Amino acid sequence: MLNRIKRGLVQSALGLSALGVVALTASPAAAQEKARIEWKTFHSKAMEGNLEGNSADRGAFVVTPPGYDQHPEKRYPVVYFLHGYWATPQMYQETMKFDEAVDEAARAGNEVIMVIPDGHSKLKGGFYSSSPTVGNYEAFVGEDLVKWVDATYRTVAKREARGLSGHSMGGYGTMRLAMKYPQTFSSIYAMSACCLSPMKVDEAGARKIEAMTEEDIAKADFGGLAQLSTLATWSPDPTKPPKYVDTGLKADGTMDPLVNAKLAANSILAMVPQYLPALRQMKAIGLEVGDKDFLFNDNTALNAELTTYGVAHGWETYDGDHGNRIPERIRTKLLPFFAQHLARQ
Amino acid sequence: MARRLAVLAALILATFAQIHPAAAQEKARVDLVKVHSPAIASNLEGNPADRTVYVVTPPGYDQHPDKRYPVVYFLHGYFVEPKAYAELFDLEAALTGAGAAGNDVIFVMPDGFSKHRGSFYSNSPTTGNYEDFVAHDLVAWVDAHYRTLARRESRGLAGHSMGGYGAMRVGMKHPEVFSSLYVMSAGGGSVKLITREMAERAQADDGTVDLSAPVGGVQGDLAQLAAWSPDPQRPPNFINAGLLADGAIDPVVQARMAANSLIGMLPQHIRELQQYEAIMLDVGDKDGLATDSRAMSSELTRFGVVHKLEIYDGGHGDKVKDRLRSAVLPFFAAHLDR
Repeated sequence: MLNRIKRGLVQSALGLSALGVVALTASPAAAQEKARIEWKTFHSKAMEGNLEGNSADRGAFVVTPPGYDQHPEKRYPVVYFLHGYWATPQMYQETMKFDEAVDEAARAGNEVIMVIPDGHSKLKGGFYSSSPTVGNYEAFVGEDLVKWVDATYRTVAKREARGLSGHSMGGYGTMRLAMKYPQTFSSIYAMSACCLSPMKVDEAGARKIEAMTEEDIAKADFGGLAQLSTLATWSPDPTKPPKYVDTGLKADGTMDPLVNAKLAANSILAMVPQYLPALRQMKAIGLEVGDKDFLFNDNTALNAELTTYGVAHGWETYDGDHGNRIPERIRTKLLPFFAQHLARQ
Repeated sequence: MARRLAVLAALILATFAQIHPAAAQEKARVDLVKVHSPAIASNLEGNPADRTVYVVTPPGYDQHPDKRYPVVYFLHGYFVEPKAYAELFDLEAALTGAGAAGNDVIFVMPDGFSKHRGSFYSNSPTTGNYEDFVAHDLVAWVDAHYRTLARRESRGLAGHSMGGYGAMRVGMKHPEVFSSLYVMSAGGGSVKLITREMAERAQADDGTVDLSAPVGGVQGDLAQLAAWSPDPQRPPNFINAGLLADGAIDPVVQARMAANSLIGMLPQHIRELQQYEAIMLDVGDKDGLATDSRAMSSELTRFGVVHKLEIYDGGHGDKVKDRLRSAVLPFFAAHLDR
């Protein structure tokens, strides 16, 4: 199912070179007339010691609005944006052009800092979760990143001035982190969120994953890798090198139902009832999905669930698929949403 | 206004409960107090937000007004109110004994009872947010009203059966509040799946609670569904048992049950559990829950979470009074900062 996530969204960005990234970060010494995008790295203690060897030195794009350099006393709200599976922040930048979006927003009076952290992993996505195999992406973003941004940039360093958003796997991360870090973020905007309903692995799937070699992993397609990646995130097993994954396949050939319980435990629809006090602390929640998105039904179910529990939220469906309208909607919906809800001091 | 009155009443009750003899306190003293919990307020079952709490102060508490004490929080099991555990434990004697052995601690047991006889110390709009009640409201109240060492290093969390589940659950979510865990005969370790029969029975229940009914049957299912699959739109029990038109069970409801099993939650909370100074599990070898405790222990081992599992000669409840004295209180004596 996940293999459609990338279509039309990140494929074109696959060839982006490291040189292109460096060029993006060069900043003029003169007054800052336009938004500036910088690629920065910092150390995330939460990411240390993961078994896949994903670096604890994490990168992030930080976009400062026009005028940031000229007004050294001014502080800004921050919009965090979490990218999707398979992709990197660079691939998203190719498509979204975050600096241009922040620039346009500032000209409309909405000056914000935008931060896009690197949620990529060896298996192409950490799902912004906490796993000894993959690393603690949840705390990397929810704790270490926020602390680093507040220490490094002139932010309004309080929850009222922090928004969290993301697309696809990043939409999942948005919902998940809102539930776990209501003291850190005050409004959230989830675009085409993935992984809302419980995933399942069956015996055939487990066997396939058990058989995957490093070589298979290197050339796996989106669908082939996504199941291994979600298992590494949600059913980790530090005692099973080299993948450190519990697929649930037992020695006698039967499946351990515990694996599906672990996957279920990380589905947003299953988590929401446990985290209502956190969700109710949000000043604003925005959900959206395209009517041709393969995740349309899942997002519709999340909308219904939030309604059942009386969690105030906005819900919008639009003519589009999983990725074709995202750059536009960041400009017309996401940034205006945060302009309305984030405190400026 | 009503709420304010309730707060006031709770305060008055609490104040009275704390009036103690001017004389020296030679034995542990059991205070029965009411604590108002905003986290429990406005739940759909009508469980009172003014919660009964047993607070036991150690011998000498009155004579040493400058002294501060570590606190052991204890969560009781399903089916009963905390009174049953207070009597079973004979708290005055247990804490007097601990004090005499040099282990002066404050012991706190909150009321985890609910309409269907047990909250599972979880957050739910149907039952109320018992998890937040324990980790936030109760701890803040105890620190404000008793001379505690108000820091995680001096707070232990324990519980038996449903309370063992609660200790593990609240412990996983709140390593910033507690520093050691003692989990006795924990329930809720394995995944409970809803069958068609269970769902039909739960949905047919008219919401009248028979407090004389024996343990088991529909009430336990209702309690767990209320805690883990609440549905504010469905009176009288405000649960979603997941029964679909074709007789199948909604996979989201099954997922919620799985998501609230300790063993399903565990891998997400490794970092939190690794912050504990000490984790202890115990269970009787004749307890039906021994399998769950063993499975929990092997999961903890798999994830490198340092802990101990002790299996003793006994059933689900017959040794609990003894083990509070011989195992639980000494464990916290060894691990809580003074």
